[in-house]
Amino acid sequence: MTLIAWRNIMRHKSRTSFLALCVVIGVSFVAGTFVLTDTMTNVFTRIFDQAYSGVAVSVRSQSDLGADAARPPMPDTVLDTVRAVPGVRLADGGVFTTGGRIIDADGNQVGNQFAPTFLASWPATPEFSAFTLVDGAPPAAADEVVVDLGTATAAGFAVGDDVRVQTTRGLQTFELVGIARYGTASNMGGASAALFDLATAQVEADRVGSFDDISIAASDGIDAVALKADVQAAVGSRFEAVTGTDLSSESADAITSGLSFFSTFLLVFAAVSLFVGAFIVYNTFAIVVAQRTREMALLRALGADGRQVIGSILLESLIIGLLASAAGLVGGIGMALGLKQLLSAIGFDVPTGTVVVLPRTILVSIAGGVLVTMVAAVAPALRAARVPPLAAVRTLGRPTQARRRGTVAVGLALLVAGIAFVVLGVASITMVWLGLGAVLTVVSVSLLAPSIVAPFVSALAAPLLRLRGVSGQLAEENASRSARRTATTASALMIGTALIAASLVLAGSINRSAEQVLDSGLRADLIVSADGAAGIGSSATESLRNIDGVAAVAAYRFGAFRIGADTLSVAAMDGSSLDPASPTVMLDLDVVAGSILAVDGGGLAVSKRVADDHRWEVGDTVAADFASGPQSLQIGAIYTTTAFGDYVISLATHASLFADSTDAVAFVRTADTTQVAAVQALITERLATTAPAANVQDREEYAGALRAQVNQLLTLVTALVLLAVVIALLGVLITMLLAVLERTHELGLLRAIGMDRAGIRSMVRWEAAIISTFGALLGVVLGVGLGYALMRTLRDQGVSTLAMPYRSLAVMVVLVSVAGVVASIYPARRAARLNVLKAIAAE
Amino acid sequence: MAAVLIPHKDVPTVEPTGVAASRMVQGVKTYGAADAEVRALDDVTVSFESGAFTAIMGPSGSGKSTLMHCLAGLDDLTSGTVYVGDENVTAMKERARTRLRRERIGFIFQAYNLIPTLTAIENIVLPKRLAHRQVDEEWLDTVVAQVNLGNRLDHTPSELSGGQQQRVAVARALLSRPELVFADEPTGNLDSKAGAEILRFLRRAVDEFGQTIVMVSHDPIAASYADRIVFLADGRVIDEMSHPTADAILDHLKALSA
Repeated sequence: MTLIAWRNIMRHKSRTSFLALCVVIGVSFVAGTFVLTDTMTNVFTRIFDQAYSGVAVSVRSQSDLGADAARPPMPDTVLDTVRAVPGVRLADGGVFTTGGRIIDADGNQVGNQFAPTFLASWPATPEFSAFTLVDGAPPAAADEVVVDLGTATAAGFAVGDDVRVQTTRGLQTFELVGIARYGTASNMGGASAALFDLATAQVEADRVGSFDDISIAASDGIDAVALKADVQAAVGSRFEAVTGTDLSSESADAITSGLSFFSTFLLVFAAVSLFVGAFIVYNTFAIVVAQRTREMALLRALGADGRQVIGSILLESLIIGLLASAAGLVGGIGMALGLKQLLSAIGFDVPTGTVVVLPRTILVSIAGGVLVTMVAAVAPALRAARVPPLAAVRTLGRPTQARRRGTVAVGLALLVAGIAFVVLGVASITMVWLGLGAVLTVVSVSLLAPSIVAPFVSALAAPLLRLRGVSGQLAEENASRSARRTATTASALMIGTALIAASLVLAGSINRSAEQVLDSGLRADLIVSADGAAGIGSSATESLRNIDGVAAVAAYRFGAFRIGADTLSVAAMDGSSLDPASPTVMLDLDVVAGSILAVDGGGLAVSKRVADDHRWEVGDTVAADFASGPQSLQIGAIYTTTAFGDYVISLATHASLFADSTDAVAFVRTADTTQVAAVQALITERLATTAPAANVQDREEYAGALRAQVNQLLTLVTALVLLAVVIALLGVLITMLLAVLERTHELGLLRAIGMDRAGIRSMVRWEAAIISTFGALLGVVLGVGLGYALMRTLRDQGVSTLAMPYRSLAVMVVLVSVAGVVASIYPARRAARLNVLKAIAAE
Repeated sequence: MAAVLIPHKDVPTVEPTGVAASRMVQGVKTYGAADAEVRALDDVTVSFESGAFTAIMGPSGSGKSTLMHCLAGLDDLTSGTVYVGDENVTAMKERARTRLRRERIGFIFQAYNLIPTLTAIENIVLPKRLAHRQVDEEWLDTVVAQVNLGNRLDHTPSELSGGQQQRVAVARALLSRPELVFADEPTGNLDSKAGAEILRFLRRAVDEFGQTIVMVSHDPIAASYADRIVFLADGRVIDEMSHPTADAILDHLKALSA
């Protein structure tokens, strides 16, 4: 039986290769995800190890907000305390903060707009420096700066150039005296760094008289852990001592947890690809088993028992699964490169390093690929074992499609269950139930699909195809004749198109909802913003007030805080900018309880959503943790428009709670709304000298920018789902190859009675077109439903309006159908090339 | 080729034993529902002698193939009993029947029925491999020499002529030295020369190795190679004939249809 399995594989090399390719793609996706994230983890771990290698212990402010949240600076007197601790050989204070935006010659921010822009001091003690000079000298004067190699390369900076950096003091010009690497990398994971001498850094970062951290080197023979305890005892509980080793793993862990989120995200799509691959494997084996009925029966007549027949088919699938998984593993390294490109496209530059292939990657990829292939072959194998030996000697027709009624009943039951889970998921806002419902629905539709093939073909395809003459008509009849095959092939295609359709609906709805909020809630005429954590800087906001035509300017800031275990974001604006009755209102949050003006008195405004969750009412006091310590805030207003966040305080309250005073956004109202464009030009001109990286957008442009962000995500998801669609298209190819093989006799007959090669080709292509259009339409129906369910589930996130992207959906259906036809070119050519006489002689 | 076809003088001729290798007792096989019932076998009681070559003859639809399928355990009787040797096949479960086919029965089909992906020699040893049995190399050589495939043993069925394919099928049936070989119109797809060759092989298997063969045929010339002929019509055994000649069979058939 082993021999038979092997011979079957070798005899149908092209079919086997295409089938294997379906599995290869899915496995590559899985392997690629692991390879990429493992490689990145390895690279970052090495970089951080090296960066902190000279630091035995470091001191910083205590923070409950997690390692990556901004910590308040500490007074420079702490350094004296630290230096007095026995065992401390050396200690230096340093500045390390965000807010050093480096501007290139064209006035744009250098490098990735979403990455952090660090402003730091160059340590006086070289062993504390994570940076290594590759050119020039360390910064030594107030007008000197060193930048990271990544920034210098991207902007084309050379030592001796004038470089503009936007700091808390505004836009400043420095002389570039050196270029430095971060460890072995050209920068810190895509972030830029402007490095100054300590005094300059303190001035530029608004840290005069204070430090962000203190680096300590231990005396000989002093253990870092012991020293850490001594330093901790000396500095007290407001500050925190950590060893360099811990600091390194803390930084690596922060990266790793970000990566694990990313890898989970990718693995979901990899699973979808594998699932679609399993569909194709199942369909192929089911067709092949049906075609080999006679052979199976003969084996049984010659004494093979059911188990041997099952074994032979499972072995065939095992061999295919193993070969495909091995190829997929190799392909995964290539896939990792592709995913890396995708990562840098969404703003995360990855330093290159040795490709890491962990045993886990090999194990999961091989096991996953083999399992998927074999599980998919189980049902066809069981069916093969049920072939009676008598079938070998009798000319039975194709096995009848028995148990249809049972399948339909199961399908309907699953459909009801699937929809019930989706409804439950939407009602309770539980993504797990929604996902389970979606999977059940997909499976149920694929079970029910054979029953709708015939009506679909006769209702929709037939009128069109009749126009195409005999070829079209025969294609249509072939598609309905093998309803189950048509349906399963289409179902595989349905999964990918459904996901894309759902994303289209969801993205459209998010955009539409955001536009509605902007229309009703955004009252400002112009919005000044900058990407990234650095914001636009407070001095820039002030500089707008005296521009002609500007009626009012309002700053908008962010901050992180915690309620219980949740780290949250709070927005800061003054009541006068939020009060719809005020002539200078910028945002209307649609207050439903209390008064928004209460924020000016130190109050907190919260969205109705969180108020409902916590059962808060106006007048309640909320206990929150800020970097500066715990604080009680009284709720003064509850509002419904959540597009600008769930928590709002005043700028004065923000200043009392946060060390950082960077404006994220400035809202502007013009005196004359017909002159918005003129004012926009004036503001842009003014900011060119103070904050050149800032964007000045009118309402339309602002909405467009928001749309672009959603669409970028949509593009990312579509790109990842595309692999599943490609697998499904390979499925169309395989199905048509098998159909051609099965109908060899018929094709010969058609040729003999006068159909030309073009006619044969067109017949095969039309059948593929029917299959793929059927799959795409099923996908659109499912996807629109799923998209609507997702939209309803996200109703509390401000997604309130359904938008049906009819045009995009139509374009997708057409593209998928055309792709199906393209996939059938090869089988069509095979069919057209059949030798007429041999084909007729074929059984 | 001719040298092989001439029987060797020193090969002893094995006589029929008089023991029944296969029996059917009061076999009834019906198809279809009550009002449209077809009786393919209608109370058939027949037995096949071990070491003999028996032919089953009859017009189309007389029940010959059904009789053979039921005897081989491929199909179930509606009522009645089938024995192979002393064992009741009718009472066997599917697994036991699989073992029976594997160990005690050989088949030769009209349409050769070789596995297309396997070579001639691989097809010949397939039943042995399915049964996880060692191939008796000496016996294999004997059988292979008999069917005279020469250098075509490593060819796949599509590369062989019809006669060659059927010779492979005969070798496959003989290799496991089954108690019974069922041959279903083994010459139906062959020209007369290739057909005669196959029939001579079968005859010699009976004479020289004591093989028991039950063959279904409607060709008088084919049937004339048998020791005994069982005539079937409308699902009933209507006559028998021993040591037939082709002319005698033709005359008999004419008499039956008159």
